[in-house]
Amino acid sequence: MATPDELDSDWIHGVFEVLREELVSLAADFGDRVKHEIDQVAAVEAVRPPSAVALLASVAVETGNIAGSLLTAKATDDSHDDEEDQ
Amino acid sequence: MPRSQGEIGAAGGHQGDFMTTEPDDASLVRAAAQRGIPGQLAFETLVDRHQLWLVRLLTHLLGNQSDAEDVAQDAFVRAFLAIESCGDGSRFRGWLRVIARRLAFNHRRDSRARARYEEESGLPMSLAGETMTGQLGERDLLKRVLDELAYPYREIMVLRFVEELPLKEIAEVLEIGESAAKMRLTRARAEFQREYDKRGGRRGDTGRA
Repeated sequence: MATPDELDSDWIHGVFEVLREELVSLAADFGDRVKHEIDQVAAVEAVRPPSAVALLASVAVETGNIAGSLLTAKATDDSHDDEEDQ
Repeated sequence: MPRSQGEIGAAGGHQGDFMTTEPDDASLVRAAAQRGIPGQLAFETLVDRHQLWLVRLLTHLLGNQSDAEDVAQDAFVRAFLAIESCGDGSRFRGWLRVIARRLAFNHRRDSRARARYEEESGLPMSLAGETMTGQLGERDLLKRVLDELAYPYREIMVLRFVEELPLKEIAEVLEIGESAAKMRLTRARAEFQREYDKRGGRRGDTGRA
């Protein structure tokens, strides 16, 4: 059996030539449909541009960090309290 | 027949020459990533450039052009939304191919869950206006054999023998290792050969010069 490296010269490659040469006629409005869809997506993005998304994301991350550090600090304080109680 | 001739996207991303009148893929991807109206226009140029080969690939993967156009549209929209993650814009074609292949896989899976509509798509490509020539017979047979293959085999046969991708790129598109791709291709070839022979396909007449 041929290895994939040998495929260029094998008969299957020849059989598929008919598909490689096949021409595709796109629907007349295909490009317009795609661009219309992209236009709609872009319109939504204009309301909430990437920079705003990045800003919100960074705020969310910072909020999480602050909350995490506060909880850690509280847990540390509690453990100190426990030690002092003992 | 508008926009049906040639491989518009074939040269995309390889010009690399700022003196050319047509911007290359990398420039367009960079512009698209800047967003705004100019970015949108840049991306629409990418759509014009890559739509033909993409629909053709998806038609061979999915078996009919109507589904292929739907999936291609979805692929373009997703690519537009994620254009910042394209990385090296000169590889836009390969990046888009990966997106489209994932969508085609999902589409195929979902469609099969709904109905076995493939049975009615013996002639998946539009054949309107064509006569029953010997070539059509060969093409019809080839498509029927492809329809009989398990989808992963059909997929890799199309990528190798229609798209003519090297094994390395096939592995990238399928998101598997190169050795796994090689093994899958070997099995797909064997399965294809069995089906093709069973249906009386002729090897010698269509052999490559």
